[in-house]
Amino acid sequence: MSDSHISQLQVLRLPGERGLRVIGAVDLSTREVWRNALESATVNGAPTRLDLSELSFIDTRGTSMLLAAAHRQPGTAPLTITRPPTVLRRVLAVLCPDEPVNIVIEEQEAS
Amino acid sequence: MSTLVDTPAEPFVHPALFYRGGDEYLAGTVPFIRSGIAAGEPVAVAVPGPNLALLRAELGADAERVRLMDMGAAGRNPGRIIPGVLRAFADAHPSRPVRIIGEPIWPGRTEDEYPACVQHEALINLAFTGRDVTILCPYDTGNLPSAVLADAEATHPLLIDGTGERTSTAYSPERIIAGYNQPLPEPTGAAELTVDATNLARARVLARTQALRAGLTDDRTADVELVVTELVTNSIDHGGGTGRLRIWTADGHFVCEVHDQGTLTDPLAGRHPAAPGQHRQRGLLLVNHMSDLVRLHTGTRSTTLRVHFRL
Repeated sequence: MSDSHISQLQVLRLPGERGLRVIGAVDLSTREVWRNALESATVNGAPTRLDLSELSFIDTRGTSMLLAAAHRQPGTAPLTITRPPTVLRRVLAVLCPDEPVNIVIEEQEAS
Repeated sequence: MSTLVDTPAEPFVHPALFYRGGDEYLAGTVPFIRSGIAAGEPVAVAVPGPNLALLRAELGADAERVRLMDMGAAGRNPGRIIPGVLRAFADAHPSRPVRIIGEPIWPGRTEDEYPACVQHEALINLAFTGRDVTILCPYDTGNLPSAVLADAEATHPLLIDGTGERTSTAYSPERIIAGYNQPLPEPTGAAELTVDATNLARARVLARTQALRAGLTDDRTADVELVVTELVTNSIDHGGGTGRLRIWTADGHFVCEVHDQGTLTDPLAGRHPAAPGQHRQRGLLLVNHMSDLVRLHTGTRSTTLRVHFRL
């Protein structure tokens, strides 16, 4: 049985395409899971999608790690994030007043 | 034997402009703006709404050549002014002299806000040392208390009034930073939780529940959750592994506070803009951007950060 006091983060492969489905919260407690997920998603420099529609929270450090992962991607292969939570949008607006480099934000679930 | 050392002059200029009434305000600010425009220098003005309207009317078409900002909005939180207003403008013009008029202290500032305002004025001197930037700070002598005007003489190396310019003999920003670093008054009726790495999620639930109960919107509640997480994460990482979170409402504000056993050694923490490629130490910057006021007390064995959200 899970303890609701502890942040949890689950990462699943997206069926039929290159990318990950991220469920839970990114904070100090789940930072390493997030780091590993980003590394595995961007290891080959191919276009990658992160479904963040079930991400309930992400802290500033987690957002910075996402930006760093996108920065590592070749310009021809941006990181696509789907339906990010409000908190991620608000942190991105501060950290990247212009458009975030190499990140594409999708508002709808890809069909 | 004496040795002549060629010491380059400090390029950063930070005068206080003491004015009384609209005519003196315009006489002290408009020539500063127009000579900057004539020299091809980037010019920004961040002052309270009524003074912004006064300047806009006086500048006429020249207003379009100046970046105009309402300090009541952009600088409501004094902790946001250096990264979000001053550095944001100066850093956008790195190879040119830059002129800014910044008026962070006006008669409507509250007693809670003032210590953060005057510390901000002191910290400008640290933040811009070595930069070819001039920041002119108007002070309304007709409506500000004499103690505030005395503090302005400590935070500005150069003073300007209707009689001319003079070097401040009271200049001592370190004294202001230390003198206003005082214990914060105890709240009443605060919800409290000791937070460590095992219950960060519970801290967010407490923050969210209290914020919604206080009437904050969903977006502001998301900001509260982020701020609380950043503060307690700092405590876990740098403040002895735990932080005491307290949440309450008072005087029209929703207030979150985290107290820990750490010491904040960088006086500009939370005021360094987010540099490209730098991915650490951005938590306090976000706290400053998301909130309406941040108060700090730090000592050799403990630090308290108190963050206000206007209701």
